[in-house]
Amino acid sequence: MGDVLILIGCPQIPVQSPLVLYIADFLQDAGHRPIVAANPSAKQLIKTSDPKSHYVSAYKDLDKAIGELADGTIQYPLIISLIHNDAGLTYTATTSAVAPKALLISVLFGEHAYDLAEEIEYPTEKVVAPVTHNTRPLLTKLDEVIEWAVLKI
Amino acid sequence: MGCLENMNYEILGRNCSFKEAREIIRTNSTEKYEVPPGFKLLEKALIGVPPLIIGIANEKLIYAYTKPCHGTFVVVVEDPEGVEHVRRNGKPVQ
Repeated sequence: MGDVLILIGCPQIPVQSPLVLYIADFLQDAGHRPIVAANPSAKQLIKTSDPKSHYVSAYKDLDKAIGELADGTIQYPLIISLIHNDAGLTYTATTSAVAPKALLISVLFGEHAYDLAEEIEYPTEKVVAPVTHNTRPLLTKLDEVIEWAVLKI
Repeated sequence: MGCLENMNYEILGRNCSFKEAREIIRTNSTEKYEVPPGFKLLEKALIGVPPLIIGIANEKLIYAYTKPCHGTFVVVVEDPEGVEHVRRNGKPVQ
């Protein structure tokens, strides 16, 4: 069982941090090591919620993680990207281009979730709900897609 | 080579979408090159939605720089090594 990368963006939408822990928990149960790539503020929020690293196995700087994928020094069979703005979409499109062999899941939330989902042109499995505070509308589809993904890798 | 913060740079656009940034680059550049996402400038992988365009005007680089919480900026950077790197390795486009 290998490492799975969870890419996250700006932490301004409340559902982001709990989604990271939820996904990490799912991956741990499936025998994988969740690695979170984030900017310093997003990383700090997750670390505060998971101080003993029960859920997240390791952290990476977001730009550094993409740099490693571009250099080919590291590969992940599965990458799960949490997106709620144009910057998140831009980072994920880059990830898709530099890691074409990875199975990529795009989880879109926030008030512009549907508009952002329509702009996606890279190959990915999408989980979309325009939520900011309530994770519930995302969870059923998210469970389904991650369950499928961990069986596939 | 080094960090963008240590270079002479101006900001041509801020808080743009990546599409808007691409158009600002096109209209402000005399030479334009397409590069793959992850192309290295200042030792850092460029973030962007393909096609990724880097412009050159007055021997300065014009490109998009994305930050997770602040969106995409278009920067004009005095980076002679970067200009050579882009001319050598980018694909010229109209």
